[in-house]
Amino acid sequence: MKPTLRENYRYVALEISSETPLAREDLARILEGTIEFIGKIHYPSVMPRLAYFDQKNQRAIVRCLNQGVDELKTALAMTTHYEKDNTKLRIHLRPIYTSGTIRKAKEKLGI
Amino acid sequence: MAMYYDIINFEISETEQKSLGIKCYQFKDCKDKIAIGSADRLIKSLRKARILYCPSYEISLELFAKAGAQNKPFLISISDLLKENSYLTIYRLSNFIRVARHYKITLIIASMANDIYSLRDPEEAASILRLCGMTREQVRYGFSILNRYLD
Repeated sequence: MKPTLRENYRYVALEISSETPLAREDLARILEGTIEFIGKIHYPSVMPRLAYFDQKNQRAIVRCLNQGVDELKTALAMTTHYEKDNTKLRIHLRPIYTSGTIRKAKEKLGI
Repeated sequence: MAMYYDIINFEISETEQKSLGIKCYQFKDCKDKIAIGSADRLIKSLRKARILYCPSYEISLELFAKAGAQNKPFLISISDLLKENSYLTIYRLSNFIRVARHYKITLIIASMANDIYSLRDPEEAASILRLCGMTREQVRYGFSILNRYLD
Protein backbone atom coordinates (compact mmCIF):
# COMPACT_ATOMS: atom_id res chain seq x y z
CA MET A 1 0.00 0.00 0.00
CA LYS A 2 1.19 3.54 -0.66
CA PRO A 3 2.76 5.21 2.39
CA THR A 4 0.17 8.00 2.30
CA LEU A 5 -2.68 5.48 2.38
CA ARG A 6 -1.19 3.25 5.05
CA GLU A 7 -2.39 3.58 8.64
CA ASN A 8 0.21 4.99 11.02
CA TYR A 9 0.68 3.32 14.36
CA ARG A 10 2.26 4.37 17.62
CA TYR A 11 3.76 2.01 20.17
CA VAL A 12 3.27 2.94 23.83
CA ALA A 13 5.65 1.33 26.32
CA LEU A 14 3.94 0.62 29.64
CA GLU A 15 5.03 -0.21 33.15
CA ILE A 16 2.49 -2.28 35.08
CA SER A 17 2.12 -2.34 38.85
CA SER A 18 -0.65 -4.45 40.33
CA GLU A 19 -1.57 -6.48 43.40
CA THR A 20 -0.97 -9.73 41.51
CA PRO A 21 1.19 -10.15 38.38
CA LEU A 22 -0.83 -9.87 35.20
CA ALA A 23 -0.88 -12.43 32.38
CA ARG A 24 -0.97 -11.57 28.68
CA GLU A 25 -4.69 -12.38 28.45
CA ASP A 26 -5.44 -10.15 31.44
CA LEU A 27 -3.78 -7.16 29.84
CA ALA A 28 -5.48 -7.82 26.51
CA ARG A 29 -8.81 -7.83 28.33
CA ILE A 30 -7.94 -4.57 30.11
CA LEU A 31 -7.15 -2.96 26.77
CA GLU A 32 -10.52 -4.07 25.39
CA GLY A 33 -12.06 -2.61 28.53
CA THR A 34 -10.70 0.85 27.72
CA ILE A 35 -13.75 1.19 25.46
CA GLU A 36 -15.53 2.20 28.67
CA PHE A 37 -13.45 5.37 28.80
CA ILE A 38 -12.85 5.99 25.13
CA GLY A 39 -16.39 5.23 23.99
CA LYS A 40 -17.71 3.31 21.02
CA ILE A 41 -17.50 6.38 18.80
CA HIS A 42 -13.81 7.10 19.33
CA TYR A 43 -12.62 3.49 19.77
CA PRO A 44 -12.10 2.91 16.01
CA SER A 45 -9.65 5.84 15.96
CA VAL A 46 -7.63 4.28 18.79
CA MET A 47 -7.83 0.47 18.28
CA PRO A 48 -5.41 -0.57 21.05
CA ARG A 49 -3.72 -3.95 20.65
CA LEU A 50 -1.10 -5.69 22.75
CA ALA A 51 2.11 -5.85 20.69
CA TYR A 52 4.58 -7.18 23.27
CA PHE A 53 4.33 -8.41 26.86
CA ASP A 54 7.07 -9.16 29.37
CA GLN A 55 5.43 -11.16 32.15
CA LYS A 56 8.57 -11.38 34.30
CA ASN A 57 9.16 -7.61 34.54
CA GLN A 58 5.49 -6.69 34.07
CA ARG A 59 6.08 -4.41 31.11
CA ALA A 60 4.22 -4.19 27.83
CA ILE A 61 4.03 -2.41 24.50
CA VAL A 62 0.61 -1.40 23.20
CA ARG A 63 0.00 -0.52 19.56
CA CYS A 64 -2.58 2.10 18.66
CA LEU A 65 -3.39 4.44 15.80
CA ASN A 66 -1.50 7.73 15.83
CA GLN A 67 -4.58 9.92 16.22
CA GLY A 68 -5.69 7.97 19.29
CA VAL A 69 -2.51 8.11 21.39
CA ASP A 70 -3.76 10.86 23.73
CA GLU A 71 -7.07 9.09 24.28
CA LEU A 72 -5.32 5.80 24.97
CA LYS A 73 -3.03 7.46 27.54
CA THR A 74 -6.05 9.07 29.21
CA ALA A 75 -7.86 5.72 29.35
CA LEU A 76 -4.79 4.00 30.80
CA ALA A 77 -4.34 6.73 33.43
CA MET A 78 -7.99 6.38 34.47
CA THR A 79 -7.85 2.58 34.76
CA THR A 80 -7.61 1.79 38.46
CA HIS A 81 -9.13 -1.69 38.82
CA TYR A 82 -9.22 -4.98 36.99
CA GLU A 83 -11.79 -7.70 37.64
CA LYS A 84 -10.48 -11.25 37.84
CA ASP A 85 -12.31 -14.25 39.33
CA ASN A 86 -15.01 -11.95 40.71
CA THR A 87 -12.47 -9.87 42.63
CA LYS A 88 -11.39 -6.32 41.94
CA LEU A 89 -7.61 -5.97 41.77
CA ARG A 90 -5.95 -2.59 41.84
CA ILE A 91 -3.64 -1.83 38.92
CA HIS A 92 -1.65 1.09 37.59
CA LEU A 93 -0.63 1.23 33.94
CA ARG A 94 2.01 3.91 33.51
CA PRO A 95 3.04 4.96 30.00
CA ILE A 96 6.80 5.47 29.82
CA TYR A 97 7.49 6.18 26.17
CA THR A 98 5.63 6.57 22.89
CA SER A 99 7.36 5.70 19.65
CA GLY A 100 6.59 5.22 15.98
CA THR A 101 8.56 1.99 15.92
CA ILE A 102 8.36 -1.03 18.17
CA ARG A 103 12.16 -1.29 18.18
CA LYS A 104 12.63 2.07 19.92
CA ALA A 105 9.89 1.25 22.42
CA LYS A 106 11.67 -2.01 23.28
CA GLU A 107 14.94 -0.12 23.74
CA LYS A 108 13.29 2.20 26.25
CA LEU A 109 11.95 -0.81 28.14
CA GLY A 110 15.46 -2.21 28.25
CA ILE A 111 14.79 -5.26 26.11
CA MET B 1 14.00 12.83 36.63
CA ALA B 2 12.46 16.22 37.50
CA MET B 3 11.13 16.51 41.04
CA TYR B 4 7.50 17.22 41.69
CA TYR B 5 5.34 17.51 44.80
CA ASP B 6 2.28 15.59 45.86
CA ILE B 7 -0.16 15.12 48.74
CA ILE B 8 -0.90 11.52 49.68
CA ASN B 9 -2.91 9.57 52.24
CA PHE B 10 -0.61 6.59 52.76
CA GLU B 11 2.88 5.85 54.05
CA ILE B 12 5.72 5.83 51.55
CA SER B 13 9.45 5.62 52.25
CA GLU B 14 11.91 8.38 51.32
CA THR B 15 13.85 6.03 49.03
CA GLU B 16 10.69 5.14 47.15
CA GLN B 17 9.83 8.83 46.84
CA LYS B 18 13.28 9.50 45.40
CA SER B 19 13.01 6.64 42.91
CA LEU B 20 9.66 7.98 41.70
CA GLY B 21 10.97 11.56 41.64
CA ILE B 22 8.36 12.96 44.01
CA LYS B 23 8.36 14.67 47.38
CA CYS B 24 5.21 13.67 49.22
CA TYR B 25 3.36 15.56 51.88
CA GLN B 26 1.11 13.55 54.15
CA PHE B 27 -2.45 14.83 54.09
CA LYS B 28 -2.82 14.43 57.85
CA ASP B 29 0.15 16.82 58.36
CA CYS B 30 -1.25 19.46 55.98
CA LYS B 31 -4.84 19.45 57.19
CA ASP B 32 -4.45 22.73 59.09
CA LYS B 33 -3.16 24.50 55.96
CA ILE B 34 -5.89 23.24 53.63
CA ALA B 35 -9.50 24.39 54.02
CA ILE B 36 -11.92 21.70 52.85
CA GLY B 37 -15.65 22.01 52.40
CA SER B 38 -18.46 23.60 50.46
CA ALA B 39 -18.18 27.09 49.00
CA ASP B 40 -19.94 28.71 51.98
CA ARG B 41 -17.60 27.04 54.42
CA LEU B 42 -14.53 28.03 52.39
CA ILE B 43 -15.63 31.68 52.37
CA LYS B 44 -15.68 31.64 56.18
CA SER B 45 -12.24 30.03 56.48
CA LEU B 46 -10.64 32.01 53.66
CA ARG B 47 -8.30 34.05 55.84
CA LYS B 48 -6.88 31.12 57.88
CA ALA B 49 -6.25 28.67 55.06
CA ARG B 50 -3.32 28.63 52.65
CA ILE B 51 -5.01 26.32 50.14
CA LEU B 52 -8.72 25.88 49.39
CA TYR B 53 -10.24 22.56 48.40
CA CYS B 54 -13.87 22.15 47.37
CA PRO B 55 -14.47 18.42 46.66
CA SER B 56 -17.76 19.09 44.89
CA TYR B 57 -16.06 21.68 42.60
CA GLU B 58 -19.07 23.94 42.87
CA ILE B 59 -18.89 27.40 41.35
CA SER B 60 -19.34 30.30 43.75
CA LEU B 61 -18.56 33.65 42.18
CA GLU B 62 -18.24 35.26 45.61
CA LEU B 63 -15.65 32.65 46.68
CA PHE B 64 -13.68 33.02 43.46
CA ALA B 65 -13.67 36.82 43.69
CA LYS B 66 -12.47 36.78 47.33
CA ALA B 67 -9.92 34.02 46.73
CA GLY B 68 -8.58 35.84 43.70
CA ALA B 69 -8.27 39.10 45.67
CA GLN B 70 -6.33 37.32 48.45
CA ASN B 71 -4.26 35.16 46.06
CA LYS B 72 -5.49 31.91 47.57
CA PRO B 73 -5.04 28.86 45.36
CA PHE B 74 -7.51 26.02 44.82
CA LEU B 75 -6.58 22.36 45.02
CA ILE B 76 -7.57 19.84 42.35
CA SER B 77 -7.45 16.19 43.41
CA ILE B 78 -6.75 13.57 40.75
CA SER B 79 -8.26 10.82 42.92
CA ASP B 80 -11.68 12.53 42.54
CA LEU B 81 -11.45 11.77 38.81
CA LEU B 82 -10.45 8.13 39.30
CA LYS B 83 -13.59 7.11 41.17
CA GLU B 84 -16.43 5.22 39.52
CA ASN B 85 -18.81 7.32 37.41
CA SER B 86 -16.38 10.21 37.35
CA TYR B 87 -17.92 11.70 34.22
CA LEU B 88 -20.02 14.06 36.36
CA THR B 89 -16.94 15.15 38.29
CA ILE B 90 -15.09 15.77 35.02
CA TYR B 91 -17.98 17.93 33.85
CA ARG B 92 -18.08 19.93 37.10
CA LEU B 93 -14.32 20.28 37.19
CA SER B 94 -14.13 21.54 33.60
CA ASN B 95 -16.65 24.29 34.46
CA PHE B 96 -14.74 25.01 37.68
CA ILE B 97 -11.45 25.40 35.82
CA ARG B 98 -13.02 27.64 33.19
CA VAL B 99 -14.41 30.05 35.80
CA ALA B 100 -11.23 29.90 37.92
CA ARG B 101 -9.22 30.87 34.84
CA HIS B 102 -11.50 33.90 34.35
CA TYR B 103 -10.79 35.04 37.94
CA LYS B 104 -7.05 34.32 37.49
CA ILE B 105 -6.96 31.83 40.36
CA THR B 106 -3.93 29.58 40.86
CA LEU B 107 -4.75 25.90 40.61
CA ILE B 108 -2.64 23.40 42.54
CA ILE B 109 -2.84 19.75 41.53
CA ALA B 110 -2.21 16.73 43.76
CA SER B 111 -3.09 13.09 43.44
CA MET B 112 -4.41 12.69 47.04
CA ALA B 113 -3.74 8.99 46.57
CA ASN B 114 -4.81 6.41 49.16
CA ASP B 115 -2.40 3.76 47.86
CA ILE B 116 0.54 3.47 45.49
CA TYR B 117 -1.72 2.34 42.63
CA SER B 118 -3.56 5.68 42.68
CA LEU B 119 -0.40 7.79 42.37
CA ARG B 120 -0.33 9.69 39.10
CA ASP B 121 2.68 11.61 37.84
CA PRO B 122 2.26 14.98 36.05
CA GLU B 123 2.24 13.37 32.59
CA GLU B 124 -0.59 11.02 33.48
CA ALA B 125 -2.46 13.78 35.30
CA ALA B 126 -2.10 15.93 32.18
CA SER B 127 -3.70 13.14 30.13
CA ILE B 128 -6.66 13.08 32.51
CA LEU B 129 -7.01 16.85 32.98
CA ARG B 130 -6.90 17.32 29.21
CA LEU B 131 -10.56 16.30 29.40
CA CYS B 132 -11.18 19.27 31.73
CA GLY B 133 -9.51 21.83 29.51
CA MET B 134 -6.06 22.10 31.07
CA THR B 135 -2.86 22.03 29.05
CA ARG B 136 0.20 19.93 29.86
CA GLU B 137 2.18 22.97 30.96
CA GLN B 138 -0.59 24.13 33.31
CA VAL B 139 -0.71 20.69 34.96
CA ARG B 140 3.08 20.56 35.37
CA TYR B 141 3.00 24.03 36.91
CA GLY B 142 0.19 22.97 39.23
CA PHE B 143 2.30 20.08 40.52
CA SER B 144 5.43 22.18 40.92
CA ILE B 145 4.11 24.96 43.17
CA LEU B 146 2.66 22.84 45.99
CA ASN B 147 5.73 23.28 48.19
CA ARG B 148 5.32 27.09 48.21
CA TYR B 149 2.11 26.76 50.20
CA LEU B 150 2.93 23.78 52.40
CA ASP B 151 6.51 24.48 53.53
